[in-house]
Amino acid sequence: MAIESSRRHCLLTWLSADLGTLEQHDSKRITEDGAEAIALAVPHESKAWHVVRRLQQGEHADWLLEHRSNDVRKLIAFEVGGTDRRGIAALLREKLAQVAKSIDVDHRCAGVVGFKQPQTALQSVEMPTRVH
Amino acid sequence: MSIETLNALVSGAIWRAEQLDELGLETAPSAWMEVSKLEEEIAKITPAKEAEGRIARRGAVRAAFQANDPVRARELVERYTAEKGIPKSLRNDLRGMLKADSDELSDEFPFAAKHNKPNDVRMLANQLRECGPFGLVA
Repeated sequence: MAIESSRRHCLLTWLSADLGTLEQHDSKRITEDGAEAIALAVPHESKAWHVVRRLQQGEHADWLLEHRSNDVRKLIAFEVGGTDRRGIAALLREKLAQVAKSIDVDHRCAGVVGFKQPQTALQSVEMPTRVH
Repeated sequence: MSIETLNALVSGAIWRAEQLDELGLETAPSAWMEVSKLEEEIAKITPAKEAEGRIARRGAVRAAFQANDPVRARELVERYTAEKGIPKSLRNDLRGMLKADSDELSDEFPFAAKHNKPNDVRMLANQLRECGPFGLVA
């Protein structure tokens, strides 16, 4: 698990599912949903960020998250990616480039999950705040 | 309804609309209309000076276009841009959405765009898509 520039290992556990029903599921959907679940859990666990709402495509991020500290609320645009075929480095770059376009937030961040080799990364983009 | 409830509802509605869109199902526009109305509700209780208010206003307009209802999109833009104290950036974003829609139509139907108002071009384009070229004559 790579959180910004620090790396650590963690144990991820989940309820087992009946693989006999696997054919009922769309493999792309499973990857996306799995990536989203893990990617949202990571910033919650590591940075105490909470989900506010899902965002539409034109907002350049999948989720709007929040961080509250000393009565100050900061909004985070969070873009998620997942892959079961390749490494996560290139995907992380793509997602960072996308979320960098997001506006009206205090912070921009991307979270990607790889299933081929179990790994996840969370990285922020530093961008100037838009003047209204 | 509280902002937390509306945020939960709009999150589910966006997810559904995106899935239906991806599958190319006919019900996708009505799912986007639900998104647009929920975003509109969020916009009613969140001022444009707040980030979430701006996100909701853009979302209401964007989803109205996705729902193939440019008349509603245009009305929302007019309402939001007339609000007092609306940030210039939001006004530009909303007007930009209208322009992008008009440009898209002009590219697809240059002759109609040259001789008709944007709403009329949109109506003719919808009629053409639904009924074919003979439908325009009927």
